[in-house]
Amino acid sequence: MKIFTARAVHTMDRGRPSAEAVLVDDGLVVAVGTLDELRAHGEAEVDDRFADKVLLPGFVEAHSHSFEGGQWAHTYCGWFDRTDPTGHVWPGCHSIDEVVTRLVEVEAGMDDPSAPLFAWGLDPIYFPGDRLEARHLDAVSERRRIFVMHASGHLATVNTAVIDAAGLADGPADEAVPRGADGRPTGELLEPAGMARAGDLFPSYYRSMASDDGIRAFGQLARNAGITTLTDLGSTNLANPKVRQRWRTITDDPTFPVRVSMFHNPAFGQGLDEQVDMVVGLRDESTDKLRYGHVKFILDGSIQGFTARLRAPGYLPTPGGEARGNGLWLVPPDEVAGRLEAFHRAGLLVHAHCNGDETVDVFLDAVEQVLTAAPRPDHRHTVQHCQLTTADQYRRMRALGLCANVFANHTWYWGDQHHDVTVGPDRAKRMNAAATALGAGVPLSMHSDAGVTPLGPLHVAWCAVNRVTPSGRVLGADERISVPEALAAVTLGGAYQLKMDHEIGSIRPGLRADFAVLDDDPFEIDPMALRDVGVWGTVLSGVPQPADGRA
Amino acid sequence: MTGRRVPLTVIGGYLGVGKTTLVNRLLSATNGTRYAVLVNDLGAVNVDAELLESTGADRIVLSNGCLCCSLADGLTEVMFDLADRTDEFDHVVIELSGVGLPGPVARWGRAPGFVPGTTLVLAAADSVVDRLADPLVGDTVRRQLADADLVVLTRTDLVDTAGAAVARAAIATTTDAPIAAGPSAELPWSAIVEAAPPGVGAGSEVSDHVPAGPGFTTRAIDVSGAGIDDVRAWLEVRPADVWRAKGVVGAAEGPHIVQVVGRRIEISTAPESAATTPLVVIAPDEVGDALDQWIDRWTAGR
Ligand SMILES: Nc1nc2c(ncn2[C@@H]2O[C@H](COP(=O)(O)OP(=O)(O)OP(=O)(O)O)[C@@H](O)[C@H]2O)c(=O)[nH]1
Ligand SMILES: [Mg+2]
Ligand SMILES: [Zn+2]
Repeated sequence: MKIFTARAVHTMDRGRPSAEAVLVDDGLVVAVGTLDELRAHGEAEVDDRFADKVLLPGFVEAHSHSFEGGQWAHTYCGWFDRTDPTGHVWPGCHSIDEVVTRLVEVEAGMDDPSAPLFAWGLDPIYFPGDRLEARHLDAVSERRRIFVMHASGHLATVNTAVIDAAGLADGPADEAVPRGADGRPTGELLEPAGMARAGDLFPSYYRSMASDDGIRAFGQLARNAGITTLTDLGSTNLANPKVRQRWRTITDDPTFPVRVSMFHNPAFGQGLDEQVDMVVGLRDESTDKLRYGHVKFILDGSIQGFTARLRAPGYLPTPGGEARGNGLWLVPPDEVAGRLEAFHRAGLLVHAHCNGDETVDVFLDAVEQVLTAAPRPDHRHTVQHCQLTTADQYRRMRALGLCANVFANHTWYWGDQHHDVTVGPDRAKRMNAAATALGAGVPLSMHSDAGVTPLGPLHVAWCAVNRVTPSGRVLGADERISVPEALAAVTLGGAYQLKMDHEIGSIRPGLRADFAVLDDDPFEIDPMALRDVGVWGTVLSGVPQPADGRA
Repeated sequence: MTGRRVPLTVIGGYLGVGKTTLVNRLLSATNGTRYAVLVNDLGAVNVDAELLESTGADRIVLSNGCLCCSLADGLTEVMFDLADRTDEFDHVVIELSGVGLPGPVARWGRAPGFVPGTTLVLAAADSVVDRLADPLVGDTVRRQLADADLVVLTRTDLVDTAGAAVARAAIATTTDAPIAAGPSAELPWSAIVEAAPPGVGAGSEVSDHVPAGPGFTTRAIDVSGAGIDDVRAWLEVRPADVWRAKGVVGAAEGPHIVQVVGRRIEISTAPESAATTPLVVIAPDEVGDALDQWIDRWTAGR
């Protein structure tokens, strides 16, 4: 038995919200309390390495994707500062010149002259009027092939070395490989079909997202952010036993510092009945650190990509004044209920990606229909993202027993764009309405959707508490929530939606000894400083897991 | 990567319009072509397993995905895999989900391993008008039809002549692609879908004779010796309703693969050694006269 003393232990458990120490045995919490109280349980070693730290339940990231780790095999060139798995901060690139400078530096350090240079995270939405083109990348190298993936995942930019090697200037022009006024490809390759024209580069980039090192980096990034339970929300093909074996081997390694809940996405798989059987069967493969048994639906696209399905009045017109169409369905609306019913009847938990409010309507209709036909207590089906979910929808969600996992990080990463470009000031202020969700009594979690934005529950909580954008706006002051509410959402709230709250998400007797170890007390600081609280690392099943550079 | 490039045909259209039925018809008359069939197995009707077996076709299951939040786009992985083993089949047919947009998928036709085939978008005569007016999916159906090379009007047996005319008129507001309709069991699906130009490695040669059937008519025209630009110019003024034309034309500049796929014309050079063929044209009965006038125009211009 071991006692961890701390400056404070915040438990997220109503019965004992705060304590000064926690007693741990065999990976589980035995008790929280004062040192004296804990001694009632018998002899225990006192570990005071956290004497000046603050312990919270380990953070639960209930919507992330493992490619967050895979990306770091390549050079980051996004607009925001971003921390790599080793803890190194890569400053954001705020102009095309800065992107080029970053790539020049990295290129200079590359040994193998024939190796391609891959980069990622580029988001031209932040450089209005300016697009990265082959001519910019040619300044980095005329010989080495360069492939820059944009943050949206929907396009890449390559240099002339790629254009020539792949013969992209030959033959007639076409939509996937746009050309400039000079008739030459600009270097942009649109959508997977366009990126695939760059020969072996796109398959090799795509496959690197799911490499062993990428999965390990995903775990490292999580630990460095105080996370002890992660999700891989449907980005991995679980039907493939080789894929599952790799995850098993990596998570079984005691140095892998985090639990992962792996969701099945029906985009990978056979017929519906086979998929249901597969997911039910996969539960038997679960371990302490690797969980199967839940399902992810993706029903629409994204708001910043104009592919989410919106209720009227839809998207703002283009800057040129043209009306924009509505977004994309990824599942026929008529089929949502049928698919949900198959998984629901098998007792499985379904999380549905719904960015737009029209999509939420379709999902809620499906849930109501399925629950009427097949009532099931405590299903905890969850609406993921909920970016434009409205008050009436939250009230309906409450009545249907649904949970909300809100994409709070958007306020910072795209808040100004939502205000100015996608939906306009009124709806931008209502987006990611955590206060409305809580007010309606909907169980709440909040997420990063990493790799879309970086892993970092303190940052997610900071967004929901402050709703500040990079331009300095407070976007929707009335939807701000309190620090305790936000921290509950990224701990217990996430655990609840993963059906793990009897194991993790709070600190109390019998639960796993999973803690986030913080340098400061988030309950006592200025809420604007929440995202700057230092993270020492975590404790997983009672074992300290220091972040890189900490010990 | 085998270096071989095979045609990629995309079959789109909203739920229940007959996409799988069409795939099954195609497989029932393959002329030896080995198909790789990508289907959305959550559909109501499944691809006929016996047909797959008997024709040596490969079946791969596929669902819709989007890269916006996960790279979890089932298609990309499947396409990489297919591109790596194009020696195992002659033609890829993708049946999209009911909300899939054909355009972005058809563009894989220019990626390594593939050449563009036909993009067929199906619309059911008994439902297309309602679908286009549907507040949730009307815009999707419109976008699907706008991506078509050739629209196929199915389930015409379930409406009367007036109903079919209304359906055609509704489709015509979304696209200028020709509309193929007829007793669907008897339409020449293989002739419409199969590209078969030599050098791209399809299993069968272009046949210079597609027998006419109920509802459609065919012509074979010898255009050898002409300049390829003249051939293109003449194709540009074809009757709007021509469904398909194809051949390996022995042009003055050398052999060229000529394809008319609904509203799209595709001309590329063929290997010097390629055996040339007449240009085969498939069109609905109603254009018969216009077709002959158009062909006369060619003959007269020579
Ligand atoms: N009467 C009639 N029925 C047809 C015709 N074509 C297809 N069907 C029927 O329409 C139904 C749907 O056909 P499918 O081939 O499954 O349609 P689909 O487009 O593949 O459907 P999903 O994959 O579910 O989107 C089936 O019952 C077919 O037998 C036709 O020309 N006439
Ligand atoms: Mg089908
Ligand atoms: Zn996601």
